[in-house]
Amino acid sequence: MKKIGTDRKCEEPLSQLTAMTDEGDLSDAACIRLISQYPGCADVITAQYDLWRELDHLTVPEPSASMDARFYKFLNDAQMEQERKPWWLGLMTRFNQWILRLHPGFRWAMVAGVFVIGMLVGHLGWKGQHVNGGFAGTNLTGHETTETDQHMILAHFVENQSASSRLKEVQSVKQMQDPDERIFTALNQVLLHDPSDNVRVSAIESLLLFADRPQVRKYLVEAIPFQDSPWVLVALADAMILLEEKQSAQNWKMLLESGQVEMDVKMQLEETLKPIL
Amino acid sequence: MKKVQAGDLSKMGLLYERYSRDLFGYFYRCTGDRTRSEDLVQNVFERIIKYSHTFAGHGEFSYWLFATARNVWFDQNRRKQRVTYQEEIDEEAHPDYTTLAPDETLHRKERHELLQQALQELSPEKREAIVLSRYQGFKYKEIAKMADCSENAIKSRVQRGLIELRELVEKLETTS
Repeated sequence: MKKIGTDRKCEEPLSQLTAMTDEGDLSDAACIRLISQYPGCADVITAQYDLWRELDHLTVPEPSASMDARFYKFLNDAQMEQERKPWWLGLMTRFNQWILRLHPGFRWAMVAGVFVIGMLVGHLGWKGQHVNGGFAGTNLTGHETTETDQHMILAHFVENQSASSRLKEVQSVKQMQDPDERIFTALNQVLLHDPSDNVRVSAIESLLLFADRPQVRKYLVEAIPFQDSPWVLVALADAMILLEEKQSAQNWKMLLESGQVEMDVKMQLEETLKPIL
Repeated sequence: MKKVQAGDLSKMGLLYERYSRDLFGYFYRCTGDRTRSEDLVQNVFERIIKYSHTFAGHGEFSYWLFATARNVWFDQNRRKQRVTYQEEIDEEAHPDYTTLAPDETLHRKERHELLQQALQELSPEKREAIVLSRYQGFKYKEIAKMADCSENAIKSRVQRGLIELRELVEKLETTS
């Protein structure tokens, strides 16, 4: 049989044949017309046409009964998960999906707007604490913090009952030039035990700035099994990817296989963590 | 699909009934492996729920579905080695040869097996281009958009793929 791959003079009729398959014009008559235009390529054209038709005979088996069963079980589980969620979480999920469908420009505008509002609220809240004798006289922004400042921050991690205040303290760590180990220990405790997801996520952000320290990386990796909030888990996953922390893979696998993570969060995490899992 | 996007997961059943066999056929022709194809179908529907927000609502849903299926298959390929042809052919895959003479039956059966084997030997890109255009009915322009390349590139993949397929079948016929 003639080797059609090496016949350059037949490139043109083959190209026309391929175009006909796309246009739906391929037929016996069209093939005969092409052969009459390129008689030297009759074998090649016929072979290609025959092969195209022969592909019709490649049948596909029926899938096994388990394919349908698996799907319907998965759907049933997903519906039950959805019903177990509090009503506001479903609303938030739909809101998030709506946000993701927005033009990126609009999304960034919304993020900027929320950030500005958050800063305003935080500023007003901090001012209130300040009046009540919180960090009176201590400027934590834009200056190197002293040992005394760090002790006061540590004290506030323990004392402070307000989530917005704890958030402020956690964020103030970002301004430190050289926090000592006790600050990281305190942040670790926040990451493990704070009742507010926002505060925990902020702790991750603060720790991330000092992730060149092995102990800090260790805290982040070891915090994984202790999280059940989707927001904290996603923030931790992003942190692990940023740090290319493959040592966290074991903890992630254990968590994802534990059944404790909701289906949609699990899928999002698996997607995010692909480079290290 | 709009209802699924709005959170009504019960409508996923309708989408499954409508598209699961087509998807299975696509994956089977791409992988030659029934079990793997079933897994891939499952993965696609999981992704539909997860990424339903990325379907903008205009354009054909089937295009979005097969673009998702394509991503699922290529993602899996990146994690696994290329699938080699399975020694055992699924019994159910055989067309009905009972109306043919015994010699003809054997010849056709062997020929189809060789063709299936040769299809698996093609590169994933050429195989996919042939499968999507021949069996799923997508235009080269649509496949190009899914594959993020030019229409001419897809046309070339189909053309070269068919040439290569023919050569592979001839080679397999000679060695068998």
